[in-house]
Amino acid sequence: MGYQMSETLSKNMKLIAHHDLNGFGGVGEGMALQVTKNGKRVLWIAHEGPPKNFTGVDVTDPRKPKIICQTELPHEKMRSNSLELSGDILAVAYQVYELGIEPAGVELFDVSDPSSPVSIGFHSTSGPHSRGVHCLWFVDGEYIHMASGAPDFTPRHPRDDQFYQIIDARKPSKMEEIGRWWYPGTREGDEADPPERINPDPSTDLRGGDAFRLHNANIYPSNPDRAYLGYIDGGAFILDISDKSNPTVISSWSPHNPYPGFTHTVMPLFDRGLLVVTDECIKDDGEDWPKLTWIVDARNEEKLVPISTLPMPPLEEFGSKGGRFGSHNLHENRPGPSFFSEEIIIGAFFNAGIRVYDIKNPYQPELLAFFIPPGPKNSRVSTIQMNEIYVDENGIVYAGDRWAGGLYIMEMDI
Amino acid sequence: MHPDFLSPKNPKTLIIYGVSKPPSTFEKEWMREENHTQERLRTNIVSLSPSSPSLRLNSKGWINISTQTLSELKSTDDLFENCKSQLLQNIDKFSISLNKFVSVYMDLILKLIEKNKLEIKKEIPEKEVYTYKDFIFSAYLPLLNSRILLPPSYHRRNAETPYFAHLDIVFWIDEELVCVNIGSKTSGIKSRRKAIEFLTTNYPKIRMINIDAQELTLDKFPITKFPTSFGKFWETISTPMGPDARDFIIL
Repeated sequence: MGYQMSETLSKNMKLIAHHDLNGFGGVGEGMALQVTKNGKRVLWIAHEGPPKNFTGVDVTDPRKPKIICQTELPHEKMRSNSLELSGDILAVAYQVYELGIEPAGVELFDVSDPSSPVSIGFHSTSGPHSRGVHCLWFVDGEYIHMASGAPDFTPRHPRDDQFYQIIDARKPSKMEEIGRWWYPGTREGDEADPPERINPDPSTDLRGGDAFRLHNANIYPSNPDRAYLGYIDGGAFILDISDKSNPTVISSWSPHNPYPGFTHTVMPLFDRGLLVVTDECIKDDGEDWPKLTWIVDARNEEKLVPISTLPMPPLEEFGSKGGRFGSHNLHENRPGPSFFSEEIIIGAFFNAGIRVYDIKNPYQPELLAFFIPPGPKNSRVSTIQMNEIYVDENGIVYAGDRWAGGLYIMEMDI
Repeated sequence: MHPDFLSPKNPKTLIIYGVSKPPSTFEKEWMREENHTQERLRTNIVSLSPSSPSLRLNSKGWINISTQTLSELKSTDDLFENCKSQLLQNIDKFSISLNKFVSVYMDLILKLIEKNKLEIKKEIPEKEVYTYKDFIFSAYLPLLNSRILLPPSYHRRNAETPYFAHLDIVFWIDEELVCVNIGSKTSGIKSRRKAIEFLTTNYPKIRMINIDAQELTLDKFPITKFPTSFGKFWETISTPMGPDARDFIIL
């Protein structure tokens, strides 16, 4: 396992396997599970940064994960933080560290032979003001919804470069943008005034907060006319995308300020008329606390009302443990071999580990389970930094550490 | 002793339903009552024996209509609407499919009564004061958001702790437990899956029905998945009764 189980804090969760991803254990924000035609189960993992592009892990027996594929990025001035799978097609997001360099955009791979992915298409979004794609969503085999810059988009603020784009991927070799939306006032030439910054930071650093750009876009085949956007300091948005060429805003909600920004994920629970909205923690040592997960009443989608937050352990204990402490990615009820629940919410909370909540009563969410392993070796911080999570249809939890720990596989006892 | 639907001597099924406190709290309160062994239907809880009569909208105990309200209800339609609103009040406001189920189900009952009114009228003796529409309250009572108490044998190591199988809707029809789930909600939750599997395997007479959310329309409602009497609820009834019937003594 590579660490002492006795140092693990847990409740109703048990580690069944751990893999350090051959020493490249920095896991990004993409995990997707493939069931191949011959029944093999392959977990595809995005990496937080270079040199690795993505890793395929055979989890047919989740107690014995085996790497079957690990690919390299073209160079080290880029990252592929996000990936998604639809059928046997893997979509990978490319974001560069310097404006204008390539490849920035999205690449599609045929992974029908998971040990040997084959590139079948690339859509460039490189440009003088574009870093390319940070995050993407691809669950229907047809359209990629992504946060990206574009060659024709000049943001008023350099960190507001990535906006919502819809890419038609039905012909992988000829992907094309068919729709876009950005926060009014963020593009050079917009009629709207630029948004007021929430926590102004120097504009010289492209990474980080103080941004009005898109992070996640969630669109579900059961409700294909709606897009749910986490627009960082702009908050949560619901868009009508029945006409993909002209997305229009239905409503928005933002707790910033007084809350410190960085809306990351907006996950709809359609049968309950709720949204689960996360604000990502982006600073170590509790510096940007509180970064919460909000439960929002969306029964009237035009009038969003926050009604509770998922309870977190005390700042006094976790804020000073090292690394980030707060919300980040959720298991997103995506289609496929995936856990689905509108009452049980499972998320990655950096040094507070993986946490499982019951929101049957959405006014009073309850913690059901958690798993907090010790900080992995060779990490830049002393604690675990749970960054990404995927839960399969059998309730097996796959989670990744941001810096070094690799893949953790758990069983829930709930 | 907890009610046990597998008991050879005194089988009992306890169902907590509707919006309520945690089911274990209800179960404790129910157990503290002196007459808890009786079969009774009440708001949020029901105890059944294998021979209990079917639960219908006019079964006594699930609904409370005040005298004031009763005096304001001018017609069968008003009374039916009152039943519908009381069913809806007993559902989690954050359960869109259950709310939709109630609306579609009540519309279905209305449709069935109207569609079969000639057949029903034929059975009504002349000079009776009631009409075909009064049979509407013989439709089966949906126990919404049901939690069925599992017997001690479900969890022998912790037999004193009550465990429940959670179902979206339960009907009690002709001595059969008719369980309905909408969509596929909880397959990954081990405890819920185990409880449902136990119930399905062990309950003496049970029917499990899965309804897709898309089927929750009047046209698509999967009535054929239900027992035949579900769609012919008036057939075995000689005299119709309204809900929350009072025990009047006529002098």
